[in-house]
Amino acid sequence: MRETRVLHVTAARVDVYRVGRGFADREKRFTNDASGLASLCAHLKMQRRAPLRVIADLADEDFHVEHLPLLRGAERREVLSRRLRQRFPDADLAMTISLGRIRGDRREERVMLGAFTGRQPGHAVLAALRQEDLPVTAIHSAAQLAPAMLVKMRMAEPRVLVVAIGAAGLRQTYVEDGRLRFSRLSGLSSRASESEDSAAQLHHETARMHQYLLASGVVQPDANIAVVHVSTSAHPDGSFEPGGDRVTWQSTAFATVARACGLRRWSDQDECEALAAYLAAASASREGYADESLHTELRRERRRDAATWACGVLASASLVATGATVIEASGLRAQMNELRSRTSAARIELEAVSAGLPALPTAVESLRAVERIERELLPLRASMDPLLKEISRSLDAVPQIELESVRWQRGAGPSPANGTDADAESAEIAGRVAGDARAVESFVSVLRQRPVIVIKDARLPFGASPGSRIAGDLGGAPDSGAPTFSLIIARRSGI
Amino acid sequence: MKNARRARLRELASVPIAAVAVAALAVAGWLFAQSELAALRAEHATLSAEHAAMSVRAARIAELRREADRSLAAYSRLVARGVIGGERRVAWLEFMTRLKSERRVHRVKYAIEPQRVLALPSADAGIAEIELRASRAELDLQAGHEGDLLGFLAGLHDVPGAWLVPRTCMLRRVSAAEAEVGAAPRLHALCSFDFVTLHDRRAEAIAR
Repeated sequence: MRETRVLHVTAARVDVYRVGRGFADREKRFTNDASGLASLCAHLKMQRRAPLRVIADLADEDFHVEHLPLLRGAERREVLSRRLRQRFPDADLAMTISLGRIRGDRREERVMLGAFTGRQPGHAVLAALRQEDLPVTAIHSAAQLAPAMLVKMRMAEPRVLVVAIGAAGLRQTYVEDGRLRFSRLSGLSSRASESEDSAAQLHHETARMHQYLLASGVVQPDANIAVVHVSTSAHPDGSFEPGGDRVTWQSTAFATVARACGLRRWSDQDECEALAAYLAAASASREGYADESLHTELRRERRRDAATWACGVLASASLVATGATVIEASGLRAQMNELRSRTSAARIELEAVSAGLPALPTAVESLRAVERIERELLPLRASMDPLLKEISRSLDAVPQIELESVRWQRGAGPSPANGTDADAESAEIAGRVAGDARAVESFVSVLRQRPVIVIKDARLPFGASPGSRIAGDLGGAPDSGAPTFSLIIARRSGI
Repeated sequence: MKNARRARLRELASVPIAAVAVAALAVAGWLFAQSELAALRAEHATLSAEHAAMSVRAARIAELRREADRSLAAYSRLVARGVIGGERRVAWLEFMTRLKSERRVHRVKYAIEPQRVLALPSADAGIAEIELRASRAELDLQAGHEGDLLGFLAGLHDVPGAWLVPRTCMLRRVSAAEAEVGAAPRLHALCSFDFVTLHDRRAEAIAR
């Protein structure tokens, strides 16, 4: 709740209240006459230019219920304005309260028209405030605050008559279904200062009020009414028996009501007025009386509130965004420190590696080229010894074979089509057989068993293959020469 | 008109100055923080790029160092063995003479052709400063035992100052008629080898 100034206006005086969250402190009291109003205006002008709310706790507040066609928007406002002018032609302050739609064939709305009739002392106050251009944003009658009080008290009864004795007198307000229906302010007799007399007068006035509500048709005869009496320290609850079965009496201590409404701090001298000021400060401005000048001031107040809120939202959003930015910047700074240290470490490592580079006898490219050439020449530098040793071992297995010659050469041996390497070595072997010519076949067989040897061509002593020609003299003298053969073998590389 | 303007001014003035001031300060703070953040982002990007470049350079240098160490070891080994550098024909002959004695080869006749430049094994293997050269050698050998002859041929690969690349070799048994008087060679070999050396012009230039 924003701190607000509330003027409580009665016929005799004007009290200025400063209202904030949980408190309503009377700031100043003025008499409701010309000199008092001048002092009031002087006092208010000295204060900070803050919105003012006015509570008119005055008599001659008239209420009237009408049925209107169900309308909306500007059309409704126009009809209501016209009805108010017709009903209260001289009223400066008038208001309407919708009592809801009437269920039936005709689409109608029940509206209560209210106004302060006659030239009340409150008008002088408002006139003085307007003259001094003081920002009045809402005018409530004391009756209009009763529904808000009942809501805070969580009253479940549909028909409640609120009764309280304040500075202006005995205020009786009838509320039906949470809406103001009727209110009356009656003065207390001079004897009413004594508790017993005030209780008796309270009883009397309440009974009269009930009779009036029944007679005027505001309350149906069979309807129950709960009377809520707010008992103050000046006028405590007296012994009272409600009249009739339809009326129930509930007297509630002011402190209980105040706490229910959120008021924590008040003065014992003006309990009802402090509560009214507190409720008025918490109520929406549109719920009170208002003319066009008040609407202008209200709009100004709303715009100012909106601007203040906008500033607040903007500031909050900026602070949040700034916080996010600061967090991001902090993260970036941490990353940058990490990067700096890593870059520094990399630079040191680079300098160390650069410093530790050995003095090269030649260019790095030459080093690479020499390494590559050595690797690629390696197969060409292979000794012929392995192949020759393979032949030697095979000869050991077949001693009948006598070699005449071995011709070794690199390449020109088996081709890749044979499943061997083109760069492999090959050897052409020529020899003869001492003894049985079939030893050559054994020799070839032994060679075939060597995993690294591939036999490319074999010319044996007898061309036994079907594709070759053989001839001889089986009856003649035996041939004195030993059978000869030739083989071409190759060695698979990489085995 | 004047009244309306005055009313608007009054309305503006009625907005709490503290709220406006706080909002303005907050917005100014946010704008300042944004500009600082933008500067930090730019600096961060520069640092990132610098770090990335430094890392790449360090990695490249480290790789170069490893490669240089490895290549230098191979290069130094070849220099020590004499494969890189000028031909050392006298050393070859001394080696063959010693090998002949060790392997009891009866006769070693040799003929070494003039040195020639060889094409490099692969097109991209070398650079202009590296040259592969070879001297073709024809050896005519006679030995009494096959093991001696093969041992000589195998040992020849340890010749100093060159890589030995065998080309062809013809081994045959010597008939009694062919044998020289006073000796008993049983095997005759006629082999062809390349004595391959490398020449590094840049290293030679540095050495000079």
